[in-house]
Amino acid sequence: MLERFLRAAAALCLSLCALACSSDAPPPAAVQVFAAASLRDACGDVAQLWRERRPQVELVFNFGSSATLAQQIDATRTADLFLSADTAQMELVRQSGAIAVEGPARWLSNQLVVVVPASSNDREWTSADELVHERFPRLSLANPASVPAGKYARAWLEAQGSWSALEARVVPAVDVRAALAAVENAACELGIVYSTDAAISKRVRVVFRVPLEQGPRIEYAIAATRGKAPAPLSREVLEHFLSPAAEACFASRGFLVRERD
Amino acid sequence: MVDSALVDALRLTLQVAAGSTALVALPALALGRFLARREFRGRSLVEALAALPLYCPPTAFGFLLLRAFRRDGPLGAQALGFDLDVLLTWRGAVLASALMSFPLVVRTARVAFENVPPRLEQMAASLGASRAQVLWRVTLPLARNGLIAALLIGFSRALGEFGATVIVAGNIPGRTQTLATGIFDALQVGDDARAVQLAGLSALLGFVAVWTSEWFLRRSRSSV
Amino acid sequence: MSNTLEFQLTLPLTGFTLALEHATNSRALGVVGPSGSGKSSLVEALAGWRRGARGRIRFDGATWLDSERGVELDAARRAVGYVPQDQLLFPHLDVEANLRFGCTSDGALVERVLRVLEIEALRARGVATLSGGERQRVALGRALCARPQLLLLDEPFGALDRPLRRRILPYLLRAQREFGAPFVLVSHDPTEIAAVCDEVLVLHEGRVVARGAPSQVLAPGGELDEGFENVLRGRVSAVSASSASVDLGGVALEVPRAELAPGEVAVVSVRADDVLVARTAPKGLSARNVLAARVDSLVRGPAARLRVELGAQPLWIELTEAAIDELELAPGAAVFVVVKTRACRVLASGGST
Repeated sequence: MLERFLRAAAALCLSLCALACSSDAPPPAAVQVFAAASLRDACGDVAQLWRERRPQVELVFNFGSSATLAQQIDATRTADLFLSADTAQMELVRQSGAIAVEGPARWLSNQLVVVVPASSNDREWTSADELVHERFPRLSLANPASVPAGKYARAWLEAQGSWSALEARVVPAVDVRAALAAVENAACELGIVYSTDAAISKRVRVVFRVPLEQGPRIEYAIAATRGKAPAPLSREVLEHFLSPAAEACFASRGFLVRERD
Repeated sequence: MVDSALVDALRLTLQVAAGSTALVALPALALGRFLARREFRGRSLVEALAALPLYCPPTAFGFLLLRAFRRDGPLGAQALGFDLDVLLTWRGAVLASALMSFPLVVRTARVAFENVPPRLEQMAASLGASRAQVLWRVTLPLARNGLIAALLIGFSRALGEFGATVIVAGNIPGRTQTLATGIFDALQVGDDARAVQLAGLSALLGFVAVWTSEWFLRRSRSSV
Repeated sequence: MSNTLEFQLTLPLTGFTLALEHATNSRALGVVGPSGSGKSSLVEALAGWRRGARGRIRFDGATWLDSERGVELDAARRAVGYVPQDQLLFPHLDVEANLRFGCTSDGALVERVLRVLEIEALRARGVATLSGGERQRVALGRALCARPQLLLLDEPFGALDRPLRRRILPYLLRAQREFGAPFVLVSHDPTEIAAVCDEVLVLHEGRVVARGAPSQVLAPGGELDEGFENVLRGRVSAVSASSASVDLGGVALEVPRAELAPGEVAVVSVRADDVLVARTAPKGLSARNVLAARVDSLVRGPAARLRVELGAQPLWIELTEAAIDELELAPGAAVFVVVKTRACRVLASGGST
């Protein structure tokens, strides 16, 4: 009795797997978009717009730190679009010969903020000097060696003169969303992320907004890359991301839309 | 409540685990048979090599595969002239899982073959069966339950594979995000609810797979 | 088919080296000896299951082993049917599938084997459900179905108790008669050997210490403490309701009727310690057999025994040294041998010797 059940279960599993295997090939039209982690939610909005206009073409997103994505693009040629949080990573991709169509310079920008867990007692700071206080033994940043969000934060801290004091306290995260999650879980008492990230989370509180004149130049970049999708299609998706409707999505999430040159 | 991302992750997990098991089945069973029967110099070396994925961090193997299949690697598009399209695809996930589950299948298969008394095989040969016939008519039927258990163990391992998979196949929802990588992703974005769902589902799957494999193992012990 | 088996073998074992040679034409060669004397190793080497044997083995003109010329056929190519001590029945197949294993095309042979060994009723049974005696018959049947040119039986009845062995013995004799292949039978039971074989090798620590016909070679004493049984053969001359008369070459032995029919050959055993000796013909005894015989040889000592010629066959009698002295027994003396009908056991019957 049990044996028959198990045989049936095994047969079911196998046919499930066969079924799953048969649906391997992606739908005939799919465009792979590699996007920086901070753009996650905004991209969801943009994708929704796309689906309403062109449902036959699927947008497949791969989110991660721009540094990891740039490496993946270099190693494979599977991305059709690259949305990077800084121009340095886009430059790497350009050097590897993967760019098909350049996007505009200074596409989006952002603002750095300092966050604490929602459970903390801190409220708004008057100055950034609070950073070095000993009540913050751990500082969550996206990896300052490679990830744009971390590099921006480090640039700002260096300009403030507090980097050498804080460097030892840094807990590097794989991307800015992971850095945010570390503060949400109170694994770190303090973190520096984008204001757009802080905006989506109810479990952190912003205690300091880095004034745009003080902070480093944050410049997102976008380009169509040589991937699996046909070039005209990638170009079409690029134009969608640059359209006013898409820009409105980014703006409503807190991104700063720069004027075109 | 059941969103498409969850279904996708489940489907991909099963797909990858099935593909991985199918890929390792023949080589791992063959190696298990070989190790069960032949005594030869360098046997322990072969066994140790085959067991590496058990002891080395999965990320090390992920790295190896990445190096091999990247565009400018020995198995990349530049070297071969065509694109195998392994990295960042479900094929890469299958390869990574296959590599990591290989030693478990080999070991369990080896034990299954060792439990077939060699004298029974000798008797079959004595009665006129060729080597292939001995394998087909005596060895495999007697080892059958143990071999099924071996494949199920490989399947269970592949269900949960993360370290090598995330490096080779990335974490692309709908394309390469399995239950395991999905949990990691959910944690990264602070989506605890989703993490719990995925973790629960993967625990259930893993449990069923392992329990079934144990059942076959018990049957294999009592039959010979 | 000439049935000639010749071998010269050396095989290192634990403690000693098996080194022996023999050549024989007989239908059935017996191998006896104490446990550990190398009997099973000899048979395994003949079967091709032992690597490491050096020397020569030739059967019926074919060379199975020739170390000098580098010839060593493996088991599958030797046309040998090997029935090992542990039977090695295939546990995943039923009885019929086991029998058919070595013989995929000849259904008629399988049916005949099932019938001769009386295992037809077992054909769909799983191997694990068989009794000891049934397993032995199935193992023998499986070997027979593979049409071997030589059968090697290693203690085929090893695990069975004596009464069961006696009951299975006729199957072996029947198989010998019906299927023709010559055999080599290893046993620690001299009665079986005497019943079945026409030639015997006695092994001790890997060497042949005696060879010849069972009646010449097998005798009471030594390590055999189960009670030596004499094995006698004769043709049934008459039967009555409860007994039969077996002609041992001029001397008639009354044995229990069993299922004997006139004209059949009967194989009968009489324990050496069940026989009485008298110098004069005793009268008024219940025993039906009071037979004239002549003393052939005697052995003194604590295991004193007498060998007499009964008709054309030897008979061993165990008795005390005091009795030998009192009766003044010596080689050549004429004596009377007294055996109860019921002390004779019919081992097998049928066919011709």
